[in-house]
Amino acid sequence: MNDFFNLKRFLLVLRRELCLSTKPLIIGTALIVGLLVLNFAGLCKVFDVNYIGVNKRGTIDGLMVFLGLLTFVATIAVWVSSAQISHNLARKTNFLAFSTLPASTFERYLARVVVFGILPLVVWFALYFGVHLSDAVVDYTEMNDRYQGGFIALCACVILFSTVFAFWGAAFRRHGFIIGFCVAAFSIFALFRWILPNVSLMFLDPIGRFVQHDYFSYGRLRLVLAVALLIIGAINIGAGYFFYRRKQMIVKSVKRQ
Amino acid sequence: MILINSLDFGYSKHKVFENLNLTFDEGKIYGLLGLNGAGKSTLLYLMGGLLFADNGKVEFNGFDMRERNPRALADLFFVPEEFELPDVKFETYIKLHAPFYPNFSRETLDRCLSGFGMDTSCRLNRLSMGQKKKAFMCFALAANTGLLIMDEPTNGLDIPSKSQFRQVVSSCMTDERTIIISTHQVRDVENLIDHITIINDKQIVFNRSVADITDRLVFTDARFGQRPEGAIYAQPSSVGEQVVMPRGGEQETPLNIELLFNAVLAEREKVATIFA
Amino acid sequence: MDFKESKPIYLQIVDRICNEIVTGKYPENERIPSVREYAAIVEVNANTVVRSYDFLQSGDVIFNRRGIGYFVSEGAIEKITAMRRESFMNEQLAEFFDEIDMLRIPIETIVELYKKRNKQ
Repeated sequence: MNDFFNLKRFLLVLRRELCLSTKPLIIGTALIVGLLVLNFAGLCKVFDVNYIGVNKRGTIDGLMVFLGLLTFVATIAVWVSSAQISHNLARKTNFLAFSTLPASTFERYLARVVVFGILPLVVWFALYFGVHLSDAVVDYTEMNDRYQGGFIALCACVILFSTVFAFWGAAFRRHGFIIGFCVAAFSIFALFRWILPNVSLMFLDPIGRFVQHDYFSYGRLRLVLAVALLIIGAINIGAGYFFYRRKQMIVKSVKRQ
Repeated sequence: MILINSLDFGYSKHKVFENLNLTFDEGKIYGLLGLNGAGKSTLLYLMGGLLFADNGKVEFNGFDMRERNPRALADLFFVPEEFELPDVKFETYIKLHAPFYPNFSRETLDRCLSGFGMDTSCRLNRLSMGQKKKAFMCFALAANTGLLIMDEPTNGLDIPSKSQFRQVVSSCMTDERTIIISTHQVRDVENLIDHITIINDKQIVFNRSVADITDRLVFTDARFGQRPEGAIYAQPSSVGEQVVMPRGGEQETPLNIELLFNAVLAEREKVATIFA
Repeated sequence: MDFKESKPIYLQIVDRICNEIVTGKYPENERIPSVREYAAIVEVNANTVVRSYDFLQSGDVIFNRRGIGYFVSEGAIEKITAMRRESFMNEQLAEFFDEIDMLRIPIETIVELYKKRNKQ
């Protein structure tokens, strides 16, 4: 009986989290699915469009921005979910029920990460890549190199910022979401700037210029992204765990630590 | 068994416990008393690993509660004063949570529930506050943990339920179990507890078994102006005064917890000399 | 069970059990509830009931068969009556005598009243 991690016990914790969170999970999943389906509907070949914001004619139009926003919102839903990993444990009653559960802190944390962090990500990716199986939507391979890179960047952002939210949520509870959201929003604007170089967003210009000068080839980009993702993601999740361990009850609205 | 050693605990603004030492043994039902804000709930949270001591140790069965070791937690159950139950059927709740407690007994659960006149067919979040408490308490008792902590268990229970509570708790007690009840409603648990611990002003000010107390103190009534000599403490009552006195050779009297509590708080030294 | 203010709880429980024996609820040589069972019925701590049972054992009202439980002794009813007689003589009667002395009622008056009552 390992005190740190026991598979049988972990599965029990996981089952508990899933069963008790069915409502928010269903709502969250429906949200992600609904938004992405709408997005795909717009991206059907019928409309003669390409993936991330630029149609085949190489210009941007309102529909594209709108569809891009839908993706964005679906992504936000994934991030909000990550923040939920520790969010409702700020309440004394929930904290108590959760912390007296006979499982190790790691098992509890991991269970919540799986349910609120990994599951929504899986849904997001399953849709994006699963839909490729049907012929109705523009394929990843049909995108040119530049947009592939942008697409990967988008995926990376989704995963990466999920971990950011997971960590900051654990560290700062209520404020975590706001801080994390600002960080994420800033970065996603930078990303879109990169993908949509023609859109003039003056304050983010340095980033666009950086890319336009081809300092990075897209092959290298993918590698860099993958590595950064792993490192930063691991740090975030790991740091989240250590904050979790130190967490104590909030009594009489006076915060410990 | 719970061992609390040289415990210091406080918030940035004020200290709650200073160099506290306390043990809780098996086979006893402890009553934890104290004024509002004395730190009863805090002490319980420290025992349950929900709060960490600034200094000193809180040990349960040899486990440091700071570690929140799952094996320790599997032998401990905390029934808080306020709690929320999820929106599921009671049966589902049992299925999800019972496996965490290796000694869980379905038979005990059904017996306790029928003691309260309930069964497992209800939906947990649709119950009234009192019903929720009863259901959760039955689960707690059925978990058969070595340590059961209850914070204000009778709060919110209607009058017949208080009696049922005593019956159910009494029938679930064993020689290996420790039950710690923190409460202000002393009348509700009066004959149930066999050890009284009183916290006040960062310290334990009283910690004796009921047998000890009734052996050395008597609690009687006296008419006004007829207060017996040697009375440690007196408070007004309908017949005159209620009085606490050291016991001579006379017959024992039942313990009056409220009276004892007030006496301890008012005349700590005098009480201490009697028990020295 | 509602407990009075005066007598120790364990003695009040002793009275209760004795009543139950005398009224035939627990006949002689029959088993009475275990300590825990009885504690649950009267809603008290088991240790208190242990004291009650010890008291009854020492008065030979009940006996213990190891591993099986407690049983009502032979002739328990007589013993209980004897116990109660003695307790009455020592406590209530003494109090009664104190009271009539304080109120200065002669014992002959008491005897008269008693005879009158029995005639009715």
